[in-house]
Amino acid sequence: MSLSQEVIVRTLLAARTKISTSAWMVTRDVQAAEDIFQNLSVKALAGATPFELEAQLISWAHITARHEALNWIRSRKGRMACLDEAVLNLVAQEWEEAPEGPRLKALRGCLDGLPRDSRQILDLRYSEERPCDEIAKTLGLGLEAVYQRISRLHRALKQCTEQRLAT
Amino acid sequence: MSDALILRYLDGTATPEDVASLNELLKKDADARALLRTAAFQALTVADLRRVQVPRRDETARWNKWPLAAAAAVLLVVAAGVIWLTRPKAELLTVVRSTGAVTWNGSTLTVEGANSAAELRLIDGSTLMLAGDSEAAFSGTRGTEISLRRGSITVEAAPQPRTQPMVLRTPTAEAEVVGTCFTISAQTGQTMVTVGSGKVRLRRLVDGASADVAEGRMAVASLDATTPLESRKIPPLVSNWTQTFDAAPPAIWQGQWVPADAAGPGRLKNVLDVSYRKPDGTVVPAYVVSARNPSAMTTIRPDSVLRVKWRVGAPPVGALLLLSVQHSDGRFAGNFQTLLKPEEQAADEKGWRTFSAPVSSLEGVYPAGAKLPTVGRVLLFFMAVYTPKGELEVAEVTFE
Repeated sequence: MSLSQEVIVRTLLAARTKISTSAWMVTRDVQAAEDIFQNLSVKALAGATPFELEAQLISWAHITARHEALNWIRSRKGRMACLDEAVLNLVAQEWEEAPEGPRLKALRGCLDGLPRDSRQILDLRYSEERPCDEIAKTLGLGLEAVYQRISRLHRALKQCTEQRLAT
Repeated sequence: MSDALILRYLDGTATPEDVASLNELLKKDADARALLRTAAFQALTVADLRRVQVPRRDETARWNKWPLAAAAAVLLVVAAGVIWLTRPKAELLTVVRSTGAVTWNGSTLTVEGANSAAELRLIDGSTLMLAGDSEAAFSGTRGTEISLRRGSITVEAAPQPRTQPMVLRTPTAEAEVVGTCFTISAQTGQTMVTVGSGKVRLRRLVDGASADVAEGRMAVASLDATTPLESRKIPPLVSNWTQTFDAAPPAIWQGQWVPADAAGPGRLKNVLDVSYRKPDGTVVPAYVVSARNPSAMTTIRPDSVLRVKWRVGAPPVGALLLLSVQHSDGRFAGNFQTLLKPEEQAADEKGWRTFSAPVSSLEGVYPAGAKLPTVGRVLLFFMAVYTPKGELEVAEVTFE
């Protein structure tokens, strides 16, 4: 028996950030990733592909997100180099199966605890989508220093998130 | 090593060699794959949080076109479930202000009439000015994929994401923008770009040739692929400028040319144009003589004197005189106007009057209270009467 539309919506919602992340790893554009998620959600609801299991739906959503994102990249006429599709598949296969809700909550808590300058650099990079060289100029830092700070922030947030999930 | 590669990849600055190295690394290294997933997940979470915390004013639900059509088919069934999908997203652009006949249909902005103009702001903070008879369509997730179908547009582009820069297309060329102030105009068979600050990459569509157009330079892309596409220095504009009409004027002029005869010297007679549209869409006409040059006609200072030899029919009616001016770096400065009153200017035996006054005597009307720059560039000279029997004629325009 196929999943009801209510279940499809609930399932996609519960994995929204991960699915959008699959697209964003290719597009590196937040709005494009969000549009891709919307598009595949509508496709799923339209019922062209019947889903019997939630895991099947999630798997389909990740694959579709990657394909749509690759099409988006191709429409940019080669302006951006992109990872091989096989590598992207490999990266996506290892998403943990646990619901993303608790991880999101933990991550948001960690973000709230960041010093203002650390949060500013993440906002500049990911909310405003400013390239790192521009952030470097804005903050009066070298480009490598910006890379290092963002890299450290990602690792610190990962550690903080894991700690919060474990307690 | 893996951190730097991953961040360069996510930043869009990785070279093909970097991406090849990253591919190899990710195939072998589960930690690197985990780091990529983690960084990407965190990035989207940060972006999501910011959207929730800072909702945009005037947000309305926006869907891409085909999902909307598909959604319509299933919406009745799953209405409750998909409400979240229509969460607010920013409109492509905001019309900050406009004058004259300006219409926006959700993706295309149309500006009708020589003295009509609209100032727009895109989601990323870039501002654009469409002026004169111009039409532009906006697409892409940020509205930064712009098709200029006709007319001219002046852009003050905010710094653009390297991975998705603003792109302006015309029928003959494509301009890619990083962060700059420039004017692009689409004329029949050719596209002209003048750059006030920053840099624009212009690509000629007929053969794919491209040229970087730097600050203070201009380039023209036409359908003629036999000539090289090159940028050149913007010619300095003279500050003493005169246009008479004893010979047919250049194409920048709007009006019906009348050669010299017993009634007067060579002149331009008014033609019908759109002045503005009423809220119900009704067009209000104007009878116009004008000249628009996207790369500007002349430089002016506030004490520059404007002299116009003009005539109207009987009984004489007042005429609107308007200048559209930009700063020397290409930013729009404003529209400045005055009403020429026949009773204040004596006519000669053939009915010709001469207006002569410093340009500082014109009132800044768009935006309201606009001030003339210390050094400005005149983009538009415009005169109009608003009655069919006004019979406006212009025989000479001089800035000195």
